[in-house]
Amino acid sequence: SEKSEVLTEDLLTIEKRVDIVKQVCQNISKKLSSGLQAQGDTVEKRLKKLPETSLAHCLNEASALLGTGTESLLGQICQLCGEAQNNLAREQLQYEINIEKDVLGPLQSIFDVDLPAILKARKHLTKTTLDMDSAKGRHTTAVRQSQLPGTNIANASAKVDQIKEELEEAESKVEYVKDSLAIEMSNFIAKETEHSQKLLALVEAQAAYHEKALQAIQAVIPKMQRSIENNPTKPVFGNCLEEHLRVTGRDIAVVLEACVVTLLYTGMNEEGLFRIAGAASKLKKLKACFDANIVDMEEFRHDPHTVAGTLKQYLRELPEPLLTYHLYVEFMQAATLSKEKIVPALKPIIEKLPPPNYNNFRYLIKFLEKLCKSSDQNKMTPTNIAIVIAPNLLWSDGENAPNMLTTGSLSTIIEAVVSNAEYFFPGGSYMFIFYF
Amino acid sequence: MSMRDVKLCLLGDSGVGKSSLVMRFVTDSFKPALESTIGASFMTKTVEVDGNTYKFQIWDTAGQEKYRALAPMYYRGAAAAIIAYDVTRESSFKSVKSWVQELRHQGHPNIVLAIAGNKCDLEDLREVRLKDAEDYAKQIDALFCETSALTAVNVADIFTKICKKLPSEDFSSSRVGSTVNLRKKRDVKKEKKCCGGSPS
Repeated sequence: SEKSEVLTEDLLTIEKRVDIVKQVCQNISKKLSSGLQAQGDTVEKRLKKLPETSLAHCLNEASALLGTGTESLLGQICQLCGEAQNNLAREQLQYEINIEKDVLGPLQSIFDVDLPAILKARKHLTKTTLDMDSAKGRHTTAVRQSQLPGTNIANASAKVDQIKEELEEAESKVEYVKDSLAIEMSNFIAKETEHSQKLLALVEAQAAYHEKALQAIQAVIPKMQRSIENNPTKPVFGNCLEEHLRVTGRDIAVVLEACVVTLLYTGMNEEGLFRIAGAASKLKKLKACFDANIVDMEEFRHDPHTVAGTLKQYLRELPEPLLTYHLYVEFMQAATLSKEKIVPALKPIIEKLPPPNYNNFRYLIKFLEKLCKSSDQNKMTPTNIAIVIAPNLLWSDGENAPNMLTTGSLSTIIEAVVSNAEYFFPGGSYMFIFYF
Repeated sequence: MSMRDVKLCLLGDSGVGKSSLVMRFVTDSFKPALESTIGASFMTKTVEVDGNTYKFQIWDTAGQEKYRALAPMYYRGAAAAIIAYDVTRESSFKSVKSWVQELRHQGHPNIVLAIAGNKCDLEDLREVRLKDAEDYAKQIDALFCETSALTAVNVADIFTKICKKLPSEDFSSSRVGSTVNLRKKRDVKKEKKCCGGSPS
């Protein structure tokens, strides 16, 4: 017998639509979950899956090795960077948890609840349609038999009636199930808004993740900057004097004080101190040691020329000369004055030096004054010492090599200051003054 | 009669009166508003104790240096160190303990330690009890005096005491200068407190 179409045309259209939506949801769900990195049973296990966590782990180990106090900037930075990576990992995990809860979970309920209901209704419809068709068949047969000659009309028509009743029942059942299927499928289609909401939730979760991740990183940036900025173990050569004093919490530059103290112990009677060059490799070594902030001056105890050379080099490598660019012109003008006028002219200029420069210049001059007092042994008179030291104390902006034209004026200035140290820097500062 | 050179270094917080103590000892004078020491200053003074002559070479260090990076240069070769605090400032007494620790670790094992509680003329403002400081000094085997650079009380005495305590053999000249290390750790662990009193 002929079979009825299970679905009417409109239901077929809806079913096609359901199929497409189902396919779309499946694809999204698959891609989304395969993109999640932190999978596992516990939070710890999930965090471990993230690359940020393993980077953080490595950074924390590094900071433990290096130390996180003033002894290692890198150690401090590793610690901060490790914290940032851990925070990033936590944000990533939170993001993935949110995606699972707000996007993947609801999508999954389509496959767990909505689609099975449709499928069930669909199966039910097929079955009831089959039942209806068989009732139809039986009815046709019964009608045909009732029309055969010699049939008990009454019996036959009773049977036809009974089967007809069954057929009607089956037909109304099909109708009923068809309606239920239509309802299920229409409801499913109507959920497109809900599905769309899931995608909005996804993008919102991404936005929240990026925002929090950005916050986590941005919180650490100023901390890292501050650590680097205030690092007392910054290289000292070529670093700005004020900056060096600030980060080390000092008044006198570390190179200046260490060299001066060493020379006071061992170099005051050395002939040609500051004039005779030390061995270049030793000087480089001492300089590198200062930059690394680990210096054993003991090694240079018997090498005063290297120590003096390093001191000169330090002054020469300051980004701005100790006597400043700002006062260059004034100093040079004073240098043109006669011997009697130069000393009083220099005093107000020197007093204009910024405090860090003033303190360090005074310290150096007090030391040089003392050095000159032993000039019968070391041969370094104020004139001699000025010639070798002056080019390291003042140069003009943009001048890279000692300028032969200004060397004479510079020496005149420094000679005047060293010879009259007590006039320029009287009283209170009584460094290196010996009482007997 | 022999003369013995004694290298000595003064340590302690900024403003406790290290330079004033040295001024009082060396020139027997006092300036009320001495400007703070920049870098370090060096002075010598010769004294006679029990018929022996001692020539002190005194390094007076700057107290405000944050990392004490160059302090070892001054105390490493020293035969004696005076660690000064201000009896009117509890925090300066705490610093004494950290200096003692540093000297125990980095200084010469035979260095003679003396603790000076300066400004003892300011009794009204006292924050550090005499007995606490005395007990602490005894515990670490250091000489101790409360001093006043203003009134000169005990200033010469502390140097005399140091002369008497110097070991007979001179070790001080063996090493001058030293490591400059800005990287060393600065966290000073608290000294374990003695429970006090002898077991009955």
